[in-house]
Parts: sequence; C-alpha cells; structure tokens
Amino acid sequence: MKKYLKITLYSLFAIIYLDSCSNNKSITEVKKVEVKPTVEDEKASIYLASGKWTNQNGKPFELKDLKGKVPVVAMVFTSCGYSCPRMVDALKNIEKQVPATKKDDVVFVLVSFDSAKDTPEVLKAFAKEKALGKNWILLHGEDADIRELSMLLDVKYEKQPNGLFAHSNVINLLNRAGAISARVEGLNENPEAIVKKLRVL
Amino acid sequence: MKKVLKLILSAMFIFINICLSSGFENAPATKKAVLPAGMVKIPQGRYTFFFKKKNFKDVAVKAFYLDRYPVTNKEYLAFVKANPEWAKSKVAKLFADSRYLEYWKSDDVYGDRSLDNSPVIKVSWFAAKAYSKWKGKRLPTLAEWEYAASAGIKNSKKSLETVIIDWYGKPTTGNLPAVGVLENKYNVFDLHGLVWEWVFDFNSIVMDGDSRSNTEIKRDLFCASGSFGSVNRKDYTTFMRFAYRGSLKANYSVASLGFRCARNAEN
Repeated sequence: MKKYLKITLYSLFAIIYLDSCSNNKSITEVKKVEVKPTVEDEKASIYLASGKWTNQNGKPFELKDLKGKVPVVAMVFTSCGYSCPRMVDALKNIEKQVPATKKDDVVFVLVSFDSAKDTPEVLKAFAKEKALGKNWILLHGEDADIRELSMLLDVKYEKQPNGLFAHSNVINLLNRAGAISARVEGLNENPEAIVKKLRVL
Repeated sequence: MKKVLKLILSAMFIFINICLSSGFENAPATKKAVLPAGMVKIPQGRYTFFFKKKNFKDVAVKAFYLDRYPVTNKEYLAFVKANPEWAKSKVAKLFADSRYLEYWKSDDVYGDRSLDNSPVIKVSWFAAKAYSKWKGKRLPTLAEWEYAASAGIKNSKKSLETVIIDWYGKPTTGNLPAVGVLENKYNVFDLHGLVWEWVFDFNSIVMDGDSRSNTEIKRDLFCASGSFGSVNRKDYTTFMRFAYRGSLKANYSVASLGFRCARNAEN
C-alpha cells in the first residue's frame, strides 16, 4: 500500500514538475534527454572504432550494434579470481537500480582482456554461472582490438607471463550515441555517478 | 672527345674498384633484399624491467623491424593527404584532442621547409596507430621499444644515461632539429634526445585504481628500488619514461611526443 502511495506521489510530483517547467526555460533540460545525439557526441562515439568482436553466442558483433542503447561497459577476464567477480557484482548492482521502464534500454557489456582463454563458449558458460540476464553481452576479440578499446575506455592492463592480467577497474556508461557519459574507477567506488544518469534516462 | 675520355676514365675507375673490393675478405656484403626500407632488424633477446615485478623479471622479445628514424612532418603530411579524416580540422575528437597538430599552419601545410625532417609531434596514439597501419606496419610494443632503446649510443662517448639526462635537462627552444642526431648500436637513430615516442601498449603499466593487483603493481613500480633518491641513474631515466607513459591518454596530442613504426620479422 505504502508503495502505491509512493508511486502516486512521485507521478504527481513529476507532473507538477513538468508542468512548472513548461513555463520557463528549463524545459530544454527535460527535453534534452529526448533529442537525437549531437554532432559532438557522434565525434566522441567509441562506435567510430573499427574492432570486430564475437559475442557469447558465437555471433559477430560490432560496437556500433549498440547504437541507440545505453551500455554499461567493463573490461574483465573470466579466470580472474579477485577483482573481476566484484566488477560483475558492481554491474549487477547497477542493473538493479535501472528504472523498470528503462530495463530494455540499458545493456551490460563485458569485454574480455583474454583473447586466448575467453572464447565465446567460455564467456557463455561464465554468463550462465553468474546468472547474467538477456541484456548482458560478453565479447571476445583480437588483442589489437582489445588494446584499442582499452585506450578508448581508458582502462590500463597488462598480460603477465602467467596468463593473468593486471588491470585497472573501470566502469563506463555510454550514451545512446556511444560517447562516454559517466565513469567510475576503482572497486570501492560508489557507482552513483552512473546510477544517477540511468535514473534520468 | 672529352666525353669519351671521361667514359674511359670512369670505366677504369669502376674496374679498379671491383678489383680492390674483391681482394678484401670482408668486402661490404650485398644488402639483404628482405629488409624493409628505412627499417633495421633488431635481434631477439630479453627485456628486463627496471622495477621488480612479482611473477617475472624479464620478457622475451622476438626479432622485429624498427624504423631507423622517428616519423617526420613530411612523412606525416603524406599520410594526412592520403587519409583526410586525419587532417587537423577533421579528426574526430575521440581520436585526438584539440592540440592535435596544433603547430601546423593548416590541414596540409605544416610550415616552412625547415620542419620537413623534424619529428612530427602533437599526434595522438590513435593517429600514430593509423599511420602505422597505412604504412603496413604497427607501433612497437613497450618491451620492444625499451629493448631497442637500451643499446648504447654510437656517436657519443658519454654513457647512455648521461646522454639522456643531458637531454632531459636541456630546455626545448624553437623548432625540433631534423632526425638523425644520435645513433645507437642497432643503427637506430633518435630513440633518445629528440622526442618521446608512443608505444602500442603504453597503457600497460597499471598504476592507478585500487584493486589488490593494481596496488601490487604500484608497489612494484615505486618501491622496488627503495626510496626514489636511491634509484641509480639508469633506473632514473627509465623511471621517467614509465612515469611519463603513465600520465598519457590515447587521444593526447602533446609537444615532444612523436612515434616510429615497427613490423614483425619473419622468424
């Protein structure tokens, strides 16, 4: 009951808010979310990158296939014992906070550092093990494309002789044009910067 | 008549030359046809990191080809003309920040001819990578670059470290000189002394973030040699390069940062 009241109150508030906006210039702020991506966004879009990927179902994938969606992107590798499971948890935590009406718009993308071990089959098994939903995309690629993407997302990584990867932990939120709109660095960071943007989609 | 005499003389000269060279055991060997133009083959070896790493201390470097000189303005202009999307007015901001080719007069004019053979600077990693690809080459890896750059300087009596420290201490004034100043023992010019250079995996030194593995590397990088003051001179110059790379982002286009290309060798 309390929940309904809350929702009703929110809707009321939203209506009043929108209404009040219609009379002043801040209407543009509300509308901004709806407008098509600007030229600036297009020029900053990571979809300009040329990398070719394969998803967990073995299907070819290009980043620009994400156009129109709002992707939350992280780079991981599945044999990682410590930080990557926590990164996945952080993304799941973000997923829980996506507004119900926007669930179809937001996709979660995990790109593997490990071109050798993280084959599409391994990624599929990983997705199953972690109970990742249908809006999760796990990508396998070639070393040069992985390196390029790490540059675009400003993620540092190094393959070590034992086959493991040292890497920085970064979660990037892209807008519908593919430009970075928020970024959270470090495992203990609060992903609030990303969640906030998702709330106002 | 004069012409005929000249011809006879030249013929005689060539003949004598052939006789002379065949008389020597170590006459200059005919150049290997496989060597790509403007490149030098760097023999295989191992590259040892200057700071202590947890699981390893050196990595194998396979033989590879490396450009003898950094890429120059003139060479880079040819690339821009063939690939207009890399012109300074057209480049996507994703791939290069606003300082990209800042010193060039316009999209296809860098300035006067004196800059022809100076290293191109204020180019991003993406631009350097695109240029390399256009040339059918690639950027050298960090290990390859450091390995090649650890060879001593041929035309200087000073130690490599002294040469580098002298360069670090020298203020940059005016235009960069033409390439071809310092040649090292692999016959590669200007790995030190003119510009810093992009490497393919410059972002492979993980220094920030706060995961456990990151912190380990941070500790490895900064604590292996004790306090900074006790780092020896050789480590100091390398440390500067690693610290510099750690401060870069792939779209940065900064002064004193250029690049050269590499290519896989057959073996």
